[in-house]
Amino acid sequence: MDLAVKLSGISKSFREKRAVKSLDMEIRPGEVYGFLGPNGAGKTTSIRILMGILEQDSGIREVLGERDITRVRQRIGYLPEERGLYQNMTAPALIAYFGTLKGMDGAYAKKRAKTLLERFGLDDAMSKKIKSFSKGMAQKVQVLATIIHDPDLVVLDEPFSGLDPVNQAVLEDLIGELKRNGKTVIFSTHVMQHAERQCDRLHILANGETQFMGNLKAARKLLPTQLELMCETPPDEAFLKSHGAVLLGEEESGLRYGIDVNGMKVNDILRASIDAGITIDDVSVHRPTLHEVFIHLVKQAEEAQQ
Amino acid sequence: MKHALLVARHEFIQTITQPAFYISIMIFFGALLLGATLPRFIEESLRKTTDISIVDLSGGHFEGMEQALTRQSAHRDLAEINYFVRENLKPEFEQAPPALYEKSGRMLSEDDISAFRLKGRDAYLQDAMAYVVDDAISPSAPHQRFSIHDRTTEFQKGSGDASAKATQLLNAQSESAPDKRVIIFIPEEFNLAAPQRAPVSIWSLETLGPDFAAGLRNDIDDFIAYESARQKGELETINRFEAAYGDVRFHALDQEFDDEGLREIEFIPWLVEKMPVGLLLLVVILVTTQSVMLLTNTIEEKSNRIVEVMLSSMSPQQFMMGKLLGPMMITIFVGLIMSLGSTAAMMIFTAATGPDTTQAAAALSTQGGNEILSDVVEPLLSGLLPKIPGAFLYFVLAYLTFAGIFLAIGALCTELRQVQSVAAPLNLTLFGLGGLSVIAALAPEENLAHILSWIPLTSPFVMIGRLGSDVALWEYVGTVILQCAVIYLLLRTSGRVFKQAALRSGGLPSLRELRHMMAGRH
Repeated sequence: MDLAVKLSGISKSFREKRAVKSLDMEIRPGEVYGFLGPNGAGKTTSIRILMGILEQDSGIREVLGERDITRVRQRIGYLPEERGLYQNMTAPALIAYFGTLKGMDGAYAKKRAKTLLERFGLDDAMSKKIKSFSKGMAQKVQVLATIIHDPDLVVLDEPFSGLDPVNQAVLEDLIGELKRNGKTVIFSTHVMQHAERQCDRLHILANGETQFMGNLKAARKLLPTQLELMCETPPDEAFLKSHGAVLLGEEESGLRYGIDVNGMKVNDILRASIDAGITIDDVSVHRPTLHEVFIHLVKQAEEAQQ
Repeated sequence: MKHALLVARHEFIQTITQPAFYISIMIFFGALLLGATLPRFIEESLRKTTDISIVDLSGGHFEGMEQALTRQSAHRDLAEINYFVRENLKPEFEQAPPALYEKSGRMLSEDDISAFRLKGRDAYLQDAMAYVVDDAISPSAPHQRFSIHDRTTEFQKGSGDASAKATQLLNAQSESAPDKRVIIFIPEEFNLAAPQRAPVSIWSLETLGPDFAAGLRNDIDDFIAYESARQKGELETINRFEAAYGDVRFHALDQEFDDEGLREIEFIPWLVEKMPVGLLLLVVILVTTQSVMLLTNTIEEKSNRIVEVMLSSMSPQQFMMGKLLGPMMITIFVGLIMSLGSTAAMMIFTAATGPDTTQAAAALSTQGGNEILSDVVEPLLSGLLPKIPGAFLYFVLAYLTFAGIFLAIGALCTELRQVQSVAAPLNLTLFGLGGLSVIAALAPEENLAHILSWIPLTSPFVMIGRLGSDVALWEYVGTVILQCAVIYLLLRTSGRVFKQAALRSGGLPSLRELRHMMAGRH
């Protein structure tokens, strides 16, 4: 099966700074692909290379089966991180203009723009100039301008930033709809919950290098599941050492210890605790969140760089 | 190219749908109208009105006298005819003895005017040279705005002798506050047919200046001569004269009428000769304004990040071409509006207020109005029209030369403030080059013009200015080829810079970085 996007060994430097180092990426058609990373990780540079806005110093880029991006530009929708609109245009005119730039017929683009605006609750604002729009309305217009030409690949750079929770939900629904329609979606974000809910696969980038690539389950496996025990009295040293228990905190009801499960069965740990005479007040199993994995990987990358 | 045209179309529509665009056009025409009308308005406002009462005791002469007074300004018209003839019969004048030709600025004498009126057109044409070198019309012949009234009845109602009645009438006129109050008194016994006519006299409350009085006397003489000719059966000649003069609108007759008349008549050849320089100036202004607009638009699109969306749909070169073509379309549109509007305004304005030299021309023409076309309109059209395509070509070359540079500079900037700081020196440079080109174009055969014609930054401007002169074909072809080559290199380099700088943030690049960008190695 042809890949929607294939990047192999992509590197890019600005002056002396290497923004992206040997980036590999393979995205299958119909996938929702999350591109995660802290500020300055190289996400936007990678996306710009993917879009053909920037040229890589080395490596191979193949988008929708073509190495020459100009051949497939009309099949891609792109929402950049820093977004702008022509303030003196009306929303239908602007969306239709971007549609014509993607090869749509002018009249059809206008018709579709109006349909999209109606669908996304902007029918009252059709005749108003964009400069009178609220930030949320303007962002909706930007998103609609990205998808007006029904692209096969949709690239969204930080699409949720600046949106209120209601509009974030609208955008999540839209991404879901695109996926259902078989479109490939790539989006970058800082908000891990969006990635957790939406993405089939994730790509975590830090310092321009890939830190992780895979699905959510695999990402979570990067950190151990932890059994948390609330003990009335401190366990003996032998138990702590043998199970690698660490003190997480001291609370009114007792001491909270964490034990990495590390492939052990929770039952076995609990039994061992009871056998060791520990009085357990409360037990919980903590599975690592994507957020924790992300923080862990970024810290690791920073330490490695230092 | 499709993308470039889409961007250009967008730029064009975005600009011409802005109210500010039309406001600026209106301001242009407003300024034009103001410039054209204000001096005349001031002149008209300052012109004093003379209240002339005609007391016609003889009966039946009021109309003739009124017409004669109005016709006084025909002096002026005759002067214009004189110039017209001189211009159109120039070869004949050039054959005349130099001494006569040198004095050609002199005007018609009063006798000549009378003779002309009675002889009619053919005789005038025959004697045209003689008229030109004859005594001039009195330069101080009164420049009048008359308010003419038949006050015969009022006069008759007065008491006392004629002098007392006239005084009463003159005093009564002070209500309407004219600056000069005059009575033209036609006595009861006045009879044109009589060999010894009773004299028509002029009465005034204050002493009239000699010129004014002389002017009035001339009018009265004109009246008498005219009426006499009518009675002697010379009506045919007079009617021809009247037909030509009936609707003539006259300028005020003042001391400067010589120069003014000359200016009016010589306007057409002057226009034909100087129009290329005018076009040059227009092109410099349009190129400068549009280039600056390009700078600010680019930085605006950079700062609001639209440029990134555009570059995801097309190559930087396509985007740049669109950005170049859009303002060029706007400039052509604005140029068309301004040229057509100015021409229309000039025609309307001249028809409404200027000296109607075309009427005068008709008087000299056997074919009437057709002759006007050949004498006035055709030289204008044949002089200007061939220059328009050339001017357009050089405008495009000038625009592409400078707009390409400005666009690349706009891409290098990241803030409006940076643009503002670079725009001023760039503007000055452009105006400097424009000024230099004007100097060169005013002396198109001099070395400076020849040299600047081959320097890419001045070539299009100077060549527009030289369109009116004899430029060899090889020079036209050579400069165009050279300029096209330079534009190709400039746009290629600008394209590289634009491509690399369009998404650039931070301060202006170092010279090293710029060099690398220009070489496409950044």
